[in-house]
Amino acid sequence: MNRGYLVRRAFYAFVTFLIVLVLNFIIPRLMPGSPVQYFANPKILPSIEAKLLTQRFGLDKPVWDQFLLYITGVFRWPPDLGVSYTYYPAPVWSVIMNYLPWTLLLVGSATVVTAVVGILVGIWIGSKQGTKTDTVVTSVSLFFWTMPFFWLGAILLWFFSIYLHVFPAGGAESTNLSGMPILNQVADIAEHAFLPGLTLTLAAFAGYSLIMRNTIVEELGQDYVTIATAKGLSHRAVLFRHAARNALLPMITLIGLNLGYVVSGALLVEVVFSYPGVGWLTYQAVLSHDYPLLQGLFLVLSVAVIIANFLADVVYSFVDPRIK
Amino acid sequence: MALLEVRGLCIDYKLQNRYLRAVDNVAFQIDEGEVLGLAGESGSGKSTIAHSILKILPRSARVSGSILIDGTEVVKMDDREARAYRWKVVSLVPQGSMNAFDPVITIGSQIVESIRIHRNVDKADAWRRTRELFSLVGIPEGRAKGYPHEFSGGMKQRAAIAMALSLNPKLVILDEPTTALDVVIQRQVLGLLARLRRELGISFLFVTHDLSVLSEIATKVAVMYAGRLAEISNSETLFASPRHPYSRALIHAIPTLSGDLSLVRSIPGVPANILNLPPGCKFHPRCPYVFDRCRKEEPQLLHMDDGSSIACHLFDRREKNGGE
Amino acid sequence: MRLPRDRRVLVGISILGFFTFVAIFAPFLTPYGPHQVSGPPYSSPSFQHWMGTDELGEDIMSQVIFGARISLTVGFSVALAATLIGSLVGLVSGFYRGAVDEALMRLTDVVLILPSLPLAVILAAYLGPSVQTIIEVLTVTGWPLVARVVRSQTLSLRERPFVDAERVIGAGNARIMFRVIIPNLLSLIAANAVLAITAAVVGEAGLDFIGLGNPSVVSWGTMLYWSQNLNAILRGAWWWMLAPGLCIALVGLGAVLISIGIENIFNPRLRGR
Repeated sequence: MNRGYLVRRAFYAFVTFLIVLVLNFIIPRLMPGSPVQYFANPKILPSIEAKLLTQRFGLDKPVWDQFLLYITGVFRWPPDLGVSYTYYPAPVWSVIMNYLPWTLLLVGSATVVTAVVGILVGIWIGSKQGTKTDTVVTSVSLFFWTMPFFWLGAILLWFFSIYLHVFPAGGAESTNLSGMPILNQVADIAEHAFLPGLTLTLAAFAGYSLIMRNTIVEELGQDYVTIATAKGLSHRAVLFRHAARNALLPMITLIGLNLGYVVSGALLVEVVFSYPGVGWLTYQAVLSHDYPLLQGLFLVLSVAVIIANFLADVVYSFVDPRIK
Repeated sequence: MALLEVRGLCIDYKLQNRYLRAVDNVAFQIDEGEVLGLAGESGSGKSTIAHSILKILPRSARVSGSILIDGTEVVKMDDREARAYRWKVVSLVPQGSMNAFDPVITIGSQIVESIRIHRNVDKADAWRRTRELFSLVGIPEGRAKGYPHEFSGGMKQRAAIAMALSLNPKLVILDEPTTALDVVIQRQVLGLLARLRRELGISFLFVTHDLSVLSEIATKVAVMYAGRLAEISNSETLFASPRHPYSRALIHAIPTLSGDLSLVRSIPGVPANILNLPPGCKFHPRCPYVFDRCRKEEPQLLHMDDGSSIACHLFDRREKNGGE
Repeated sequence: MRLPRDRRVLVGISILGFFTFVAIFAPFLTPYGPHQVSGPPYSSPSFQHWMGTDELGEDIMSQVIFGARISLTVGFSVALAATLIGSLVGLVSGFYRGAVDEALMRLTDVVLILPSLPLAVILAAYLGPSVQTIIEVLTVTGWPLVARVVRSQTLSLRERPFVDAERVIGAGNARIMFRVIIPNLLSLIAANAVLAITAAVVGEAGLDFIGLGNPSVVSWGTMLYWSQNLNAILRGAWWWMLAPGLCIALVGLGAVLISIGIENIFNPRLRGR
């Protein structure tokens, strides 16, 4: 059973990946204008380079040939996704790889913290459903959730950085880091990542806490909870040992599903804090019409999310005995 | 001294901002070795009474009156006392045993949990006892480490009974234990219960809407309507000659294999709605023998010579002497 | 009984109503035009300029008031379009099941799983910066969620006894769909549509913020774009970012409150034991 489930999910992830590949290829070719203009524009790149690129990706050839060349570019190591206009002569892939680690750090830590905070808050107000605490906390969570979080980031930036001077005003690390002891380096990075991370957490935790709350309420209404209480378990034991464990299962899937949103969120937050991750990179790419880079970013980010979702499925399969 | 003695029990549920009386002035007792059947339609209050004995009603519910188990007063217990008391003298096999067990924990572990909450035994001993209980109810001991979804309906029911017996209680409350089972399994479960009563001398409080099941296993039956007791008689008397008009209607509504089909009647009118109860006797709108007093005055539980009790004006001696 | 919940819905309706009013009567509500240079640049909130001025000296409050028109237009249009498309897909998928369902759901899942912003960026980058683009892009990324939700409700409604009852009396698919399923879906669709307003308004802001909107149009999103681009925060001109963001947050909150109210009517378990 376990095998079957994982194989199915892997297959599904692969199919999604293929669809992303195709979409990535098709979209620019559906737009007015030729692929040459978008990816190997001789007005932007030196003409020799433009010619080479046109040849390499068959940009003036029929669509099917282009697709073949596109695929061969993707399925090699390192993947060949063209050359960036703004960071010329750096290839798209290496540009992205330079900025990706910072985003991974931000998104990774934010996902973990958000999930933990969201789940704990959800359990807490789920057990207090109907009370004033519930109403207040739910309203506060909703408030943070509905606001444009990047705007929240800007407010936090202004307040903590400009007004209070407690946190740095941007970037991922200070410029004079190398040569300093590891602990200082780590602390510096953490300092820079704190406000962006806080913004993401505040914005996203309600997505978990509200659903967790509703799930907990449902679980608390189940017969096995009645019996657990009847057996003499304390309210806390019933909540954590039984209700929460059951409510946690759908959370894992939710974390996977939310990854797309967290990534989107991180992109905007990076812009606010000038945090040099792929979000900030996207911003630059949009401003300078760097189509090759944009295409590459879309592909890489989508693949990252697909992989992360699959990992969530794997974790889920280990945790739910009904799947085992 | 009776094992369970209930006097003047009144239970109110909180619905939005008002309190609704779900159980009104109920009194009965169960002696050692007895099986009391608590019968009535859905919403008649029988499950509520069952839950109140174990003090597992929602926090907002108000309970007044007296519930004495082995001389200990349950109604006035605080949380800590209640937790210590539950499962040791009285335990519960819940309605919908399909859900009595936490789906993500093995059944054996849950039985072990019920033991270790109250007794300071080590795991090995608890597991040994669990396997004993399994064989007592007729489940192969090897299944103890199985998950609930791996058990069939009938087996889960037995497992729930096994868990209820884990601390050698004197009274086991069964809430609709046969409702979700087919007749063949029903038979087996009833047989098991009869055997347990014989071998271990346990008393049962059997809550159900299915009178035919009670006719097989109950020694005494209490019929409830709209949160009030209609009639309590010993089993033979009730099934042979039911006296309260409601009990009569219920008994006559049971089709028999050999009896005259024309005797099967359904009860006219609609079941009582606690949100909107009529004045006087709650059954009077549907009663074929209704007279004036019934519409104005609620009948008290009257004690008959043969030990049974009936709440109906028809059986009021003064009425008999005076008129109709 | 319904009072506490009703209060929240009322608050939500008043908020949305207020902003709609502002959008409609914009020219009457402010002495300045949105592109009119009326004061010194970067001035903080004052009596003449309740929300201060931007880098050109244009009154920010006027921009907020006029910006409401674009932002609400986008919000309402996207909500409407995405909900319509999503509901249609979900209904057809859930009702007919089989191959149709599989195909539609695969499509939905793919769009759902992709990080919406990169997808939106790709689409918008090629379509060119305009309000139209934003509406189209947000609709494309928004309908799948509605489709999922509607489909799952349709699936469960299909199995209900009253649907079987209709079949027994000989009702055809169309009749069942229109007489039975759709009426029961309305509350769900309404709740989702309102919720979509929140997502759309925030989405518009996000896309504008990152430079995909039309910067010469005045909307709450483009205001955020300009203030970021010109480093308003770093200059200390916090009011430029505060005003439009607050409006977006309020509109979002209003919509969420209304949708909770609609939901609560139909899910009594969440109302409290």
